[in-house]
Amino acid sequence: MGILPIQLMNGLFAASTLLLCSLGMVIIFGNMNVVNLAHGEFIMVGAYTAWFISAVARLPFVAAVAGAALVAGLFGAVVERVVIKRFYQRFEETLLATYAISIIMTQIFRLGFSSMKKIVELPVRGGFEIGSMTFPKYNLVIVAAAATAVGFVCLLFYKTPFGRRVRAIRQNRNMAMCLGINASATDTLSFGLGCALAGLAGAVTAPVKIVFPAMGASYLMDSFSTVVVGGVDSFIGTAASSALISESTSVLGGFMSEVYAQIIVLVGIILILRFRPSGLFAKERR
Amino acid sequence: MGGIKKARLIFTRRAGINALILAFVALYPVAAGAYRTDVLAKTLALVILALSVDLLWGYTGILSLGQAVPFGLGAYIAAISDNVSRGIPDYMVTYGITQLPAAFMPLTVPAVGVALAVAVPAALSYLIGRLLLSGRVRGVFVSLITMAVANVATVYINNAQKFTGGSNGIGDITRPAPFGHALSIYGNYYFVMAAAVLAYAFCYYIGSSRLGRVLGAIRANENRAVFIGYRVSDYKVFIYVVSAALAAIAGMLYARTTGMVSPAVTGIRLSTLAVIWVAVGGRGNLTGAVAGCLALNGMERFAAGFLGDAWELAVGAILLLIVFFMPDGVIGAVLRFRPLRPAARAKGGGAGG
Repeated sequence: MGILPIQLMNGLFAASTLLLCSLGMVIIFGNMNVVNLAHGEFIMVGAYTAWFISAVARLPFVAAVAGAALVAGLFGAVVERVVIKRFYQRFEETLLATYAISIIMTQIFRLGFSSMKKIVELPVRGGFEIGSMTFPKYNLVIVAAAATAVGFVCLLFYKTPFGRRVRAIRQNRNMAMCLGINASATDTLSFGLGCALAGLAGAVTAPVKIVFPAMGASYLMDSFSTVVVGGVDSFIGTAASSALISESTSVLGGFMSEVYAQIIVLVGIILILRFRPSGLFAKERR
Repeated sequence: MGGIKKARLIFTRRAGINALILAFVALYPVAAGAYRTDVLAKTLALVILALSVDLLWGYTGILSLGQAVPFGLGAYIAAISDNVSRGIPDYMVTYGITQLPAAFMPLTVPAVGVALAVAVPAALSYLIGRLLLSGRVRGVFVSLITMAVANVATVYINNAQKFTGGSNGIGDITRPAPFGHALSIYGNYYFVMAAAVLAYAFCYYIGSSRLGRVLGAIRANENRAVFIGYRVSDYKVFIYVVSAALAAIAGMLYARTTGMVSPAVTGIRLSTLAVIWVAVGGRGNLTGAVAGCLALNGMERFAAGFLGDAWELAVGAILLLIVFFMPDGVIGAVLRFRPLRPAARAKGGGAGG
């Protein structure tokens, strides 16, 4: 078998990781229009929580994932109440404030846990074979987690009263408030939910990534690119764009150096933004 | 207080603060030793970077989180040019280069090196600006994409070891030699200071010119500026390129002052730091950029001794406090600070506006 199928499979696994990490941002950036430069740090919080629960407290990995989502979500809700709330619709202030938060969080973790890398054991060991190729079994867990998370968020947003409230506020905040929707509570909840998803992503990917205080930065750029290409507020668009970005990086990376693949993908993203400013898969909005 | 009187007061205060800063910087080498003078020379190069951020963000409202890209490119081209003008540099030899690639030949001439160190970042910024600053791309995305460019630039420089020395960077860079031979530490200090003063004057001139007023209009309300009939995207691209060129000059001076460059000079960290200096000092009045850069870098030097890693934490906290309580930055707040004077109070508040 040639190299292409391997690249495609690796691309699929990378896409699931990317999707998982970007979901929270679809809610926070796409639906709430908040640029959260601390997104990566919430992933970091999730990863550390997972490390703490599984490696220090020696609890099962499922508990680690749930705990990570809970901790990151609660923390996110607090951050929304104290900081984000004051800066809605003022993107420069939001950028600066969330960047400040990201520095503070990184440094607190560095001071508290040192810069040493933490290791989260793989909960599922071994590999599986497709044809003559072997892949780690844990990759399947990531794919399943990403699919479940997307399904969950879609249901939540399109089939529950909460989701209806969030969408109503996005369409017309004042009207929604006049109709009795508690907009500020909904904001806190959805920001918390976005952060919980980031925490979940951090926990699920922790065993295959390196856990250290400054890990957030690399997640941030990837998530933003994905969400921007997908059309910021669309879950399905984000799923498609994470597939597109990961597959193209992975396939291109098979033929040339990874760096050139990254450059080409970035140029592609810039071109997409130039000619479709609201993303590849965005619905036309007025 | 009337509008004109208020403007005059702000002007006087700004001139006063500028004079204080200038006096401090000009006399600093007298009191400080050679080492500290050299450290401040580095910071003065960064002041030019801060000015370029203010030109772009404070004047025009374009928030680039990748201003270190032109800065770093300028620094790297200056570094490579300086090294190859004295034969094939050691780090290239390490990677098996025995003959200088043709693309690097022009850099062996110092003057061409200087020209390219400004021209290449400006050209790259022109391309990025043409694509991103067309008006249809939202401001948030401009910030994010410039950040992504900074990210990729660092990765690229790290990776192109043969030509950039990879993560080791490039060392052994000599100080500028405007008069034929390399300047001394003190000579270089005043050279960089003169460049910073010129950069300030240049930005001030742009701000007070017709161009500056159009830029202000774009910042205040881009759509309205379009309706009035200005080709807003051309103005934005123009100022983006000018600011990149300024950043490249800063990078060039920085490389030749520190004597070495590493991939960090093109990265997200320096880009966001430059924005933080301007945000803390106060954007849109140049003095804030200068003061913010000098103060935060000075404090970093001062605090590194006893705070260590916690200094970064302090930067985050300072930034958060500024965003919360002083949206115009420290200098902005000082310029606008207006105590109610007894005479004015007697006249019944006196807040005429």
